Amino acid sequence: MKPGMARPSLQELAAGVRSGSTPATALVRESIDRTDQVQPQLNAFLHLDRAGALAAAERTARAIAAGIPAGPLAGIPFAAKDNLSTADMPTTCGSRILENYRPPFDATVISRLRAAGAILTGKTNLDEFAMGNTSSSSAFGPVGNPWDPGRIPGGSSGGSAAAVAAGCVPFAIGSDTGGSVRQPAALCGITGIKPTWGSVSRYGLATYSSSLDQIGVMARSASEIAELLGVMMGPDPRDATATAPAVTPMQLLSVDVSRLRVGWCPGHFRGSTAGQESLETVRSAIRQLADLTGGLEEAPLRFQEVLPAVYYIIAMSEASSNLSRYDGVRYTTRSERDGDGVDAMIVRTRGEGLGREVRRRVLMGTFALSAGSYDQFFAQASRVRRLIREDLLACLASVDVLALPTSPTEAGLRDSESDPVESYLGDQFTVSANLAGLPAISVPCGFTQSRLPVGLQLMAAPHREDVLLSLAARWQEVSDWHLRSPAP
Amino acid sequence: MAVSPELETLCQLARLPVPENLGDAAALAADVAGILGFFSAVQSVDTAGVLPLYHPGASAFPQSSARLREDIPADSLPLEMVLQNAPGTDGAFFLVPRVLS
Repeated sequence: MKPGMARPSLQELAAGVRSGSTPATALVRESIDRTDQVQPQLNAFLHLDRAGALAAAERTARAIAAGIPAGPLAGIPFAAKDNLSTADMPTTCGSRILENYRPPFDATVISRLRAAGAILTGKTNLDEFAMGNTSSSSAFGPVGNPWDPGRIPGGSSGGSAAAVAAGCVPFAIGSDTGGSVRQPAALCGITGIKPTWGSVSRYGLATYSSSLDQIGVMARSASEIAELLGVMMGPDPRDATATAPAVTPMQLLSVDVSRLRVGWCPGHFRGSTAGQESLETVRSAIRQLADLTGGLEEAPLRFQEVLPAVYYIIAMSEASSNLSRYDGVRYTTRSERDGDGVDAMIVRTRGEGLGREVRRRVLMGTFALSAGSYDQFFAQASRVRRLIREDLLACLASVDVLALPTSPTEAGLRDSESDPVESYLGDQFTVSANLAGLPAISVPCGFTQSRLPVGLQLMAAPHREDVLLSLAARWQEVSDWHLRSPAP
Repeated sequence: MAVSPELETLCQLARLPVPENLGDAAALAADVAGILGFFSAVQSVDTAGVLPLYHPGASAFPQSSARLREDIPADSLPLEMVLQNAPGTDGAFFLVPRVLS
């Protein structure tokens, strides 16, 4: 994982660890050194557990030397977004209100990866409570993009994306409520997937919007992601929504893509001038998909203009309900100012502990759910949600995969304070997969003139991660965008 | 008065503080108005006869709709773990400021 050099794949690293040729301790030490090197510029990590990760690597090395069978990810360092519960590390969600919180347990996805041998080195920075697409609203400072630290890495899983792109870890876990894995993956030049709603357990994920949240993963390539989903997917008695069966990496890469019909929607390419270059790059990648597959078809999708409004009404409404748990009673932080009883304590604690965008979303969600507005906003958005889902499923009955941009623009400058509504439109291409529960992946497909990465998004029918990963892996056989690294 | 009665009620419902100075109140009112305008796009869709969809599991995976586990006792977190992050506890309960005077 030396900067500027070709980095071995996760499978190559794992094979090296298992055969004894690469000690797990060397991988973990390299990961920690690289993280220490880039952290001052990128602020990608909120917590780095040097001693714990090295101790885990030493245990792995000893077990392998003793001939004890190693898991498929033995010795591989990884990072997780700081809204995933970890018993041995803080879990702040990028918020003051959880600054001192220590979960009593590991999220299911963390315990599965650890059981497969992977070594968690640290927790990554994010937009506070995953609410944003810039990774700038963290209470612990903004994240930089490894391709240009003066620009945003995307969000909300921006720390995870930056950590993978900068070569700190071969993979990182994120969560995706409206594009929070795919959009930062696109803006940082790596591959990121949001699986089908209900296919990766969310036990231990700090909830933002229950009907939209999904845990996803980022790595450089689709074949590495297949390896990881083989560990992450599958039912969990602790999450009643996690019902999809487990799959093997081989199954996930087994689709013959030469017969796939690829749909694209001309409406997605009538963007603003700001994003013209990105959109052109994606359009050209889609033309190239024609040669790898059974061909392209126009897929006119409806409701595209109302997607962001539908999404934000539902996400904010669910957030207002889910974040009511941060009340100064259970999760460490309580306002120091006293007097006036329990209600005033709750209000003060939330006022002091929650950041501006989080308060804004809780407030607007409360409004959309309130007696006079419920039908006009929350219920209406939920009715349109059904129409959006039906339209997408109908489209995905006539084509196998939809190809579209991940982000409407390249990574923007970090210091630009934009109007909230304007920033919400950055999610216009990603939210439909969450509203409809579909799997979607972002793969690198080129660069803009400013040498910033562009992502191509692929979306498939529910539980067709195999279609996405097989096509993405084929794309990565004929392109090398995913292998490019930012300057050290 | 710094904020409208509607905004004050909304802050109370959301258990969030009402802005104390005029500048913050005006900024919040402007944010709310902007986002409301953005929300109102959903009114443009004709949804007569359409049922709301509250989560995407319903027809993607029919057998998973409102799935419930068997009603049998199972382990949950031990009490000390549940209370370990509480800002106020007596070892058996969460403690909060006095509710009744």
